Amino acid sequence: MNRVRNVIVVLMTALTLSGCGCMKKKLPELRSVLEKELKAGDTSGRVEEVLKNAGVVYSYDEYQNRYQGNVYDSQCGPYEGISVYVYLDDSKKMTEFEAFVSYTSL
Amino acid sequence: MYFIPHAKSIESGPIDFIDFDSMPGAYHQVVILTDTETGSQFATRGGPANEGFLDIVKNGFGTIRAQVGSYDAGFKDSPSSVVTTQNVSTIPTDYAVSVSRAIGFASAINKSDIPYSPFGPNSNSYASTFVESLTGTRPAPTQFAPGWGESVSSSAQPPYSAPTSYYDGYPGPKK
Repeated sequence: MNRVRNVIVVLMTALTLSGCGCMKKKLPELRSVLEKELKAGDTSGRVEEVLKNAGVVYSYDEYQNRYQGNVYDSQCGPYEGISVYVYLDDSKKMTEFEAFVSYTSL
Repeated sequence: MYFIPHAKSIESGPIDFIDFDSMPGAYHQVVILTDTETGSQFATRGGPANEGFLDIVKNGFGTIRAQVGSYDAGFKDSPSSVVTTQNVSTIPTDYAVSVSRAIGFASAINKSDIPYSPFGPNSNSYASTFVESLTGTRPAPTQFAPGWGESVSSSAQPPYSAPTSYYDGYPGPKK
């Protein structure tokens, strides 16, 4: 019985994560937009404007002095998204960003 | 655990659970720190770092990728995605200290390249191990959360502290 449940968990996890690589296909496009629109030294206001225009649902994390956000697509499902972090320096100017596909699973 | 004068007490939980439509009855855990004075919340979570079905076939599920940040709409597991909450405990530790430990824990796990498995170590192992590192106990989840009893800290030992570089331990910006 446990063996059957284990097999089911593995298969369902794989299916949950498969998502046809949906957001992975969208990652280069988003990264390209951010690279084009953001540059080191940008103000936090400019960063927020770019994130908003790019469809990123974001917030500011005061403990890490960075913006955090995510992009989802209904076609890709709720468990697969693109996570975005935009780092600031002590004067609240942008230093760099990262964007990667992130998954929710067990 | 040290009592810090003027410290704010925090709740080390709740552990929140996210349900899977495609995996009925199985849950993903998220750890949320709550400042009992201000209500401010901070969270950490883990997930597989794979990149789709072909990666799973070729390379397995990848490693555990930890994420940590303010618990709000910008966090990967946003409040709107949570379906069940389990209050774990309240600990007499300064909130900022616990936040720093969460950041340090995530950084340590990301540096460790721990292989992900649906049975553990997985995101539930990550959440439970962090709760244990904060409270000294690993509470049994109220929902079916495979992997919760497994440790992810074999190569990431406490005490955890925030990395000196703000992005240390994360995959890093694409150069």
